[in-house]
Amino acid sequence: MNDDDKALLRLNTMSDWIEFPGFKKDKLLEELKPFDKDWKKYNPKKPNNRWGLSVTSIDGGLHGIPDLTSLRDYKIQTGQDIHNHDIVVPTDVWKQCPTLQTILEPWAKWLGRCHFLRMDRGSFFPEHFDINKEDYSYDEIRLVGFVKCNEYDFKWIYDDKVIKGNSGSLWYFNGNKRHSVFSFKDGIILLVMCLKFDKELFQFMLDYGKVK
Amino acid sequence: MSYLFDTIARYGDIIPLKYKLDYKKFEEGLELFGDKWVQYNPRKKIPRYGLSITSLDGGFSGRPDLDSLKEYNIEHNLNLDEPDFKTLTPIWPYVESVLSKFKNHLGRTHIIKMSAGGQFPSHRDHYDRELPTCRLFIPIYNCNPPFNYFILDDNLLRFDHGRLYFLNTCKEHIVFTSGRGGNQQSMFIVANLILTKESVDLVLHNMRSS
Repeated sequence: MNDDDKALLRLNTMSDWIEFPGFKKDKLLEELKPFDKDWKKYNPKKPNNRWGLSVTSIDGGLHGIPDLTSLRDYKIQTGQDIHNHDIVVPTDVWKQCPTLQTILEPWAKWLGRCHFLRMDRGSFFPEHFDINKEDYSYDEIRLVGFVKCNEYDFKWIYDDKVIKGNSGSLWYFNGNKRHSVFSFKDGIILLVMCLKFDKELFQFMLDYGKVK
Repeated sequence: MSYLFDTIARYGDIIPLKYKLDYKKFEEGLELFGDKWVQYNPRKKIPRYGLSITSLDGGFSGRPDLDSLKEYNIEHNLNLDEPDFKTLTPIWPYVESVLSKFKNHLGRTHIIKMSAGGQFPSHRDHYDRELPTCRLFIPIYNCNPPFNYFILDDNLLRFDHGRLYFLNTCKEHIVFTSGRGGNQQSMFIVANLILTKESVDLVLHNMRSS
């Protein structure tokens, strides 16, 4: 076991949800308005009223391929094996939204696939685990920013508990555990950030977290 | 009448009762009346379907018992409420096993099935000081995670399928079917119990744990 493995082990013994400094949600939503027409169907193979807006992509474009699709399906279709940490090129969304830049800047060194997720009414992610199931060559963790949601119109069920994320808050969550999310209203927006894990990231999380 | 509701709710928000559905009989009914499902609240395009167990006229039209009562009342200048839907439809003998004790106390009662994306958004069932009815619930198929999520007052419920429950739906609740992302449907019965001393006694004397 190397130090990165030990760091991940330590992280996994901490809280499943760790809060980091938040952001000005209204300002961020205002900055996203010029991109209203750039939202793409999220994983269009599974019609589900979910939409994505790329913050990073494979080439800096906003087309959503393959970053807003299933990377597993993409590999089957094209033979290209792309991981979350390969999707690193900033899109115009990143380049043109100062509030988003403020959120991302501290994490940029580790940041891979990253997008906004808009969940319209009736959309959902059924119960799943986000754990890296097959490739032991790397580990990753996830952060979620609650951009536009409320506890009544959006339900996040995590290991059988109901999570309440206030708009404007940013969290690490242990995606290895079973979770599902449901939207009861159009326009619920989350920011999803995939981070390649190493011991430096762990140290940063300890320093930057709201709870020391 | 509120004290009648509170008399039950003091024992819990989710109370399993002694009665269970006879699935063999129920499935005979589903087979017979499989063409009677109608869109639940057709004003909203949500994958929810209803089959009336009671209605105004004993028919399966779903009008207005599977419509939004609030909006139907406004449109037709009526004041229909849950207790007004008392006439049993022909599917009654097939659900009788679980509801027979309450036969004379039922208001609007129906079977609901939902496909992936089917939902009842966050709501409470009563907003008045006086409560004429309370809700009974019978989970039939796929009513637990990962197929279906019933969250009441921030608690994720896990049901014993086929069992009759009292639910305190005055508390905030949602229902959402994911079908596990596939084609599985969830199905359950929602019954309105007209609150009287007699019907409350029936609930209190038939709690599973007493």
